[in-house]
Amino acid sequence: MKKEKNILEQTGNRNPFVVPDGYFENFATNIDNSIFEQPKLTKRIFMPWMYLAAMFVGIFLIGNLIYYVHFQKTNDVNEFSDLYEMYVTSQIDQSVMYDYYVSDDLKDLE
Amino acid sequence: MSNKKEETEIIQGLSNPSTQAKAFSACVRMYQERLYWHIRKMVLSHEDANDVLQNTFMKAWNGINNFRGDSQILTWLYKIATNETMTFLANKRLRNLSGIEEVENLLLNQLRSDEYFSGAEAEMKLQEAILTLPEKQRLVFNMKYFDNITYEQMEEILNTSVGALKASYHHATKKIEKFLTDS
Repeated sequence: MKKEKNILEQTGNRNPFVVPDGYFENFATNIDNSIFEQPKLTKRIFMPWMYLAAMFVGIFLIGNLIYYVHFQKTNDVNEFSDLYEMYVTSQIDQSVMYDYYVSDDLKDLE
Repeated sequence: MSNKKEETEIIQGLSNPSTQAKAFSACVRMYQERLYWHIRKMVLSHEDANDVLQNTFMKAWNGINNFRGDSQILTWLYKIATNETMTFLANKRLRNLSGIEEVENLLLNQLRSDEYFSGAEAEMKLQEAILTLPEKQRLVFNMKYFDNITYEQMEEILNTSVGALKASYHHATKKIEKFLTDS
């Protein structure tokens, strides 16, 4: 136990690290340059024009959404009538057409 | 000017927007060395310590309005520096997940080739022993052993009770002594 204690005491608590010459002077100057040149982040975040820009973006997105929903609805109706016509046309062949016209002619004769 | 008087002036300067930048500049000059060594003992390389210290002061500047003046500036800065250091080490560990070497070995190899390490063989051995400790224990050991920070101050910085800190330091010392005896 005594021996173990001595080991740490012998090593001592001297700081074994060093820095390049003039490091701390340069570091402080660099930080000065950063803080004096740049406005603070908090100030930049809460600029009033950003609220205005966000409002316009919001209006644009909502407008887009309304337009899209409305356009989609109109398109759906048109698409449905197109599909119905195609279905009816597909069910008609030449014999049906012939029967239709002949029956009309017969009615005229009567 | 005494440190206490200078600190009071800095706190007053920081609370006024027109003198904030100047006061912060004085604050950097006053505490940069202590914070640098605190960070350096954890990340070991000078370049990494420089990056973390820069981040620390930029975070402090951007959050200057969060400093309420009821605690010491140094304690507040120590907290930011400790968080930044831990984040840096966690990121390093994450980046190295797929690597063969553990981060501790990586740090040790970096230190062996570091031109800004002036320690003797025994001091290198001590650093090797410190690297075997878990990160939090390493932090407590460095703060107590090298910087002689009181447990009460550490309690405020690390948000850990004095009892737990004492136990942590005791275990760390035992492990280091064993490592040095065995090797």
